[in-house]
Amino acid sequence: MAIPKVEELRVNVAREPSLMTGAIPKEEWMDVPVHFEEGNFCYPAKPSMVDYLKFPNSREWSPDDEDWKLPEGWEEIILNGLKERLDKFRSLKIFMDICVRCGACADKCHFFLGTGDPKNMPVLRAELLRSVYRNDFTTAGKLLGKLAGGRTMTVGVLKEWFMYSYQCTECRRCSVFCPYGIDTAEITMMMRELLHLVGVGTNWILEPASNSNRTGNHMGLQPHTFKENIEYLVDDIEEITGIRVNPTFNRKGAEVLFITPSADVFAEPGIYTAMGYLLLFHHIGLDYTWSTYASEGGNFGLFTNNELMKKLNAKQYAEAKRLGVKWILGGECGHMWRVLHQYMDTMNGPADFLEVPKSPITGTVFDNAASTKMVHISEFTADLIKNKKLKLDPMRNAHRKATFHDSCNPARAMGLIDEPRYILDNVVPKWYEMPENTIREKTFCCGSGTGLNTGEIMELRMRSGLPRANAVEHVRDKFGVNMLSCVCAIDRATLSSLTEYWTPDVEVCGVSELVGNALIMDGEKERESGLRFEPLAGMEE
Amino acid sequence: MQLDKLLVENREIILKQWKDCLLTKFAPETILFFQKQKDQFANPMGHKISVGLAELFDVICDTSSREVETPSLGQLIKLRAVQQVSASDAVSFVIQLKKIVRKECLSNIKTRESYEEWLAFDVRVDTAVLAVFDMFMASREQIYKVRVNELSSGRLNGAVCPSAMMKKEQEQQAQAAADIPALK
Repeated sequence: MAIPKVEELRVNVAREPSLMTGAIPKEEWMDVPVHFEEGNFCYPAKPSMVDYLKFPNSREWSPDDEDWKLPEGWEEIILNGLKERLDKFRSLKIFMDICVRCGACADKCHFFLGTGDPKNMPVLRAELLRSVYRNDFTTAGKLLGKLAGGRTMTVGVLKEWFMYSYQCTECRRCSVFCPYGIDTAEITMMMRELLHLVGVGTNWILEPASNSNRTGNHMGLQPHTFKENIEYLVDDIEEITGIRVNPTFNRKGAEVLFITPSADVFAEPGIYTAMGYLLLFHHIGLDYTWSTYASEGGNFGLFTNNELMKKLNAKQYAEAKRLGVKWILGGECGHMWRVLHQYMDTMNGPADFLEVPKSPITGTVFDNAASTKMVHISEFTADLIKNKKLKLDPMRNAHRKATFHDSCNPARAMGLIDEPRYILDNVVPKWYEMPENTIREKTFCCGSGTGLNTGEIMELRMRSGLPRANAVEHVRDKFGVNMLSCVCAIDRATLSSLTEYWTPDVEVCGVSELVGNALIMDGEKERESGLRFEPLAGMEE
Repeated sequence: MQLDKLLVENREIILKQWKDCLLTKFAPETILFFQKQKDQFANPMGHKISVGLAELFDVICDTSSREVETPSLGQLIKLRAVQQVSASDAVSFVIQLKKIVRKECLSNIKTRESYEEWLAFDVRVDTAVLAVFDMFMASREQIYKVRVNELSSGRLNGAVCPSAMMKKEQEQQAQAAADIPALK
């Protein structure tokens, strides 16, 4: 065997181009085709899911197949779909026209920072759609084509859209830095909508969306199971605190309807957050009810198309009306709050059958929710603390050294930044901020939002979550942080995997779990363990 | 002890070239960014590469210790383990160090004069490659565990449907009940 030179050795052993980028991009970006291989794409939607949602072109296919079995005349379907959306959504037309490619967004995306792929620079990701827009919808593009930055809609372009619209979590960090305020999330949303027109979608999004449509929640839990799950939590609460809380379901005439992501009543570590809610409501004697119909705060329609988002969202007001409640309280969720705060009122409002939310305990009127009639649990809890309505012992969280992760949507889509921090100030002895450029409105995404929290792209998720994990690692090493708190169900799920890989000794919790731990309940027994049955400080055996 | 001294003297230039080796697979604009942005939170990948390589270099230069694994090197290897490159490609950067060091140091000392030092250096690099390969495999195994744990925690949407499980269980019970008379 001839002895290879060192640089040859490296080339020889790397049999394939690096999948960091799909290919080694040394040419102009337009000329670099995407390369699909197991591990860099989400599995396509099952035909049964596509059919159930009455989406077109259901079939067996895979992104790594050469032939995607697109319908006859698919180019026209896409271009007509784009035209329809340009006419319908003024924002899209503006976003297509006003970008000056200043590059302010380029290095702000966690997908770019974690993969190094230039097509994950938000400006370039948007350019994937913008180039087609330019080619077919602007005079310069029609006349000059590629010279004016236009390009024809081809299968290659479509595949690129699929690759990169599913390497964006619509977190909107880039928008914070854009001098024109271009909302790149909405560009991704449009690309995904257009792809659905020709039957290109992922199962991880369409199955929860179908479940939600069928049983009311992503998990597909039927009403009795949903109720039983909460009753299990009630049993656990009794074992830990000695207090039996009594939640009600579908109760007409309750003052408040409580809606939270279904992951909170089913999956770890969300269930501990739900136990926090149950304890809080019992503590203050809130007249509230759960619903087994509106049993999902999340809305995977947001990751699909606006029609499905509207449909899935409609059940919240419908249920509030049916039960005759005064207003709605919402749990800790991320994208749920983007839908509620930015789209719900237009889509399914006005909810004039509800009242402007008023805390029955403190009398505070939540004018910020005067139109939607929905209040975030952190706003509600912070108000209770501010008015000294909660009996709290922060030392019950002394075994936790917490930090706080601003979930993208509450932070950037509704400005919920200080309320969770105020709660933390009061329920834990001490907590630590991550570095300034990784928190508040500049927060880094968990890396797996918008329906990307699926196992087949785990490596990709570990890369896109790297900027967040890197900041967590910093506070762990510097302050000994062992608990990453947040106010989002997808975060609770995905950050658990992210920290398990990058910072194994850091756990993840909802802020309401820490509230539940700290609450001193009337008539409770001596608390020896937290809501996870973990021993409190000083109670270790 | 000439080589050891030269390694210390040329540390910065060697590390820079070593980092460049790891970046060659990226697009030009990405390379520029990874090199330019010094804020570790704005450029986590560039930062992880820099500190991981620096720790490994110091470990290789330290003749008093045989331990290779350090915290930042561990994070760099974790990064390599999720970049979807082959195992050999992921660890090959360690071998590149030999070439860079020869380029930077060989003109100053004659191979023949310090033959044993060069041999010892090569052995230390080879040892590091093996250790790094073990770290890479451990990281890969960890990824598989993360996947399994995610499934078993029920954190995956729709991965486990209790209603479907209950239905299946009922069907199985009904089937079992139906089978009993048949057995008789």
